[in-house]
Amino acid sequence: MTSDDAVDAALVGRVRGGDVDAYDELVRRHMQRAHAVAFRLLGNREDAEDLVQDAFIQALDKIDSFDIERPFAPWFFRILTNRGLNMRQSRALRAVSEIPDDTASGGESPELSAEREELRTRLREAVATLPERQQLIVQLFEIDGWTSAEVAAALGISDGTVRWHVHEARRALRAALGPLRRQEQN
Amino acid sequence: MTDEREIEIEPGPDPDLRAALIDAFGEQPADVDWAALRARARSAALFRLRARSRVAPWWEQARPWARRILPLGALAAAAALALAMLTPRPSPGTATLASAVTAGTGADPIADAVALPDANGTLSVSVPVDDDWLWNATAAAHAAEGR
Repeated sequence: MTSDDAVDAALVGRVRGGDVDAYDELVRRHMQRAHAVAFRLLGNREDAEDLVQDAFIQALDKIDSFDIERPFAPWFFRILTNRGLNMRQSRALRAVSEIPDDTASGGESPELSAEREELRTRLREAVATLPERQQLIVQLFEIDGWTSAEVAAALGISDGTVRWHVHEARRALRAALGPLRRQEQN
Repeated sequence: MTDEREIEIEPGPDPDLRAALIDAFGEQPADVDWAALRARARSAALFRLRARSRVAPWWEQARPWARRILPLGALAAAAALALAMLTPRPSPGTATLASAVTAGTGADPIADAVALPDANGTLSVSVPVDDDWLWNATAAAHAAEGR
């Protein structure tokens, strides 16, 4: 266990005894990464915030079953991702993403704007065909700049497996976007 | 069953793909109020945390200790039993029965049976503690009466 894991384990021990400050500190330590994952799962900030709060409550309800000898983060993020995937399926999401409305405008010609919208749609569709875990991994790695080790620690899988998912996702996305990207470059 | 594999080398950046993904999915929101989110999480958990911090009944408090205390108790009982078995008992023939108080008064027939006046007429005897002491003493008393 790393020193971070040891700190988490000590906090979990206090949370089990009802220590509010320990719970607060546990939330502080993990909330930003939790929000990043939640945002990638649900696509908008408000749903992401609801999911983060919900996941921490779920974790508190299950805290007695947590094996204190193991790292807290993968256990917690498993709760978060499972809840997020369930929410994504059951809830009518407020928006696919928080893309500013003026992304496609800004002096672009209508043709170019239409092409960009086409590329965006194709990319979303291509990502949607990836396995759910791979979707999350590729977004955290490519967009948010997480390293494979950071993604691995959060999801409780090996670094090498994360890299393999990135490799597979890139191959699938390049194949899906290839014709459009060549067209865009011409 | 999974067909996941492992790759050793960290993939390098792909700026084109990154730009396209950001265009499609957006960046992480920069204006999240972390203090407010933290406060929300805290207040949502308060009821549960207070329920956890109530004084537990004695059996719940004792549960963490039971695993240690029960073997220690068993060990102590075994040690006490072993000590009792190993402690030497008084050997036969050394016990003294002071029956002078009751002997001859009729209150204690056994004491009467075994109590014989010594040369000084004192009614106190030493009784060997073995299986035949009572029989021998009674027989001696009868023999003395018959004399």
